[in-house]
Amino acid sequence: MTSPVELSSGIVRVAPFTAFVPRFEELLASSTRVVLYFIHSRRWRENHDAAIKTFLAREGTTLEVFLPDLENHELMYSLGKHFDDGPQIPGLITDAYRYFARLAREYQKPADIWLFGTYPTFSFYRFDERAILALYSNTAAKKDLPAFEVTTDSALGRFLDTDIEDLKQECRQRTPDDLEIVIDNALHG
Amino acid sequence: MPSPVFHLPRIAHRAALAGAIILLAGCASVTPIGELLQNSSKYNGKEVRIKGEVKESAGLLGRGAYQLKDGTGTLTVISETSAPPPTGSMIGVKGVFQALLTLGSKSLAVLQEHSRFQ
Repeated sequence: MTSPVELSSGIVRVAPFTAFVPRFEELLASSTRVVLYFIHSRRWRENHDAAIKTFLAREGTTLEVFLPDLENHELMYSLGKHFDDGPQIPGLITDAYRYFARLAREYQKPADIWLFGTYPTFSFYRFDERAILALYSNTAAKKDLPAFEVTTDSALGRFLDTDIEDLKQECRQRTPDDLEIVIDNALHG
Repeated sequence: MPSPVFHLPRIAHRAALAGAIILLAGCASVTPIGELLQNSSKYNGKEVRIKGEVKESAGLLGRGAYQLKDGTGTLTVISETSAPPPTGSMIGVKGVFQALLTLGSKSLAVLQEHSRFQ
């Protein structure tokens, strides 16, 4: 028997994160609002750079981005311990800061970046009516990460929207121009 | 030609660092934090001893993290086994220095605590 919870969960597809490349292109092309939450997602940014720029160039689109707080040294240490590319992670986060700062200079979006200081349990990419949620592994061993495409009007979608609002309360808000100051503050010497 | 006035902060900083090195030389192999941060590649992965005042304590995932400040700089200390010491206390810490990111002459670094001493 299917429970009402399962019916309204909103999951429409489960696949390895890497299988969503064409779907991300479709979602970027058809959405007006995108919210991103990840550690650095270098591969995703590289794969979809052109689509991201086309999205930003379209009138009326908005982009909101959540990234790890580089000034939180404890978080940097924890992230470094839990990924196979751990030693590179602070550098990759710096690269993500500079990527979005460049986009903001060219497209005036995103207007703000939110910096989270708690250890992330999953990443998400929210579009108008769909969202992709990807799990993080509990170990440092590299493996294919499963991802879920969900509808945003579902239980999971509502959970995500509540989480986004809560994140905006908890995270440090910075303009893209201020990210170089965050990088500088994170470094000593 | 730049005015010598503009060099004063750097000179003062180096003098403070040199003074701290001389002072700390009396303590058995305590390394000034400024020395660690300015030569992060030299000390990366090595066990060192630092001493200073606890500035801020925080916790994440059951770990105890706090900042230790001496006359030469501030370093985040990660303790995986003990709660952070009280803010304002003076302590010594032995642990492994880890440079997580180095850009130019600056580093994002932590000390992974092994033990504390007075």
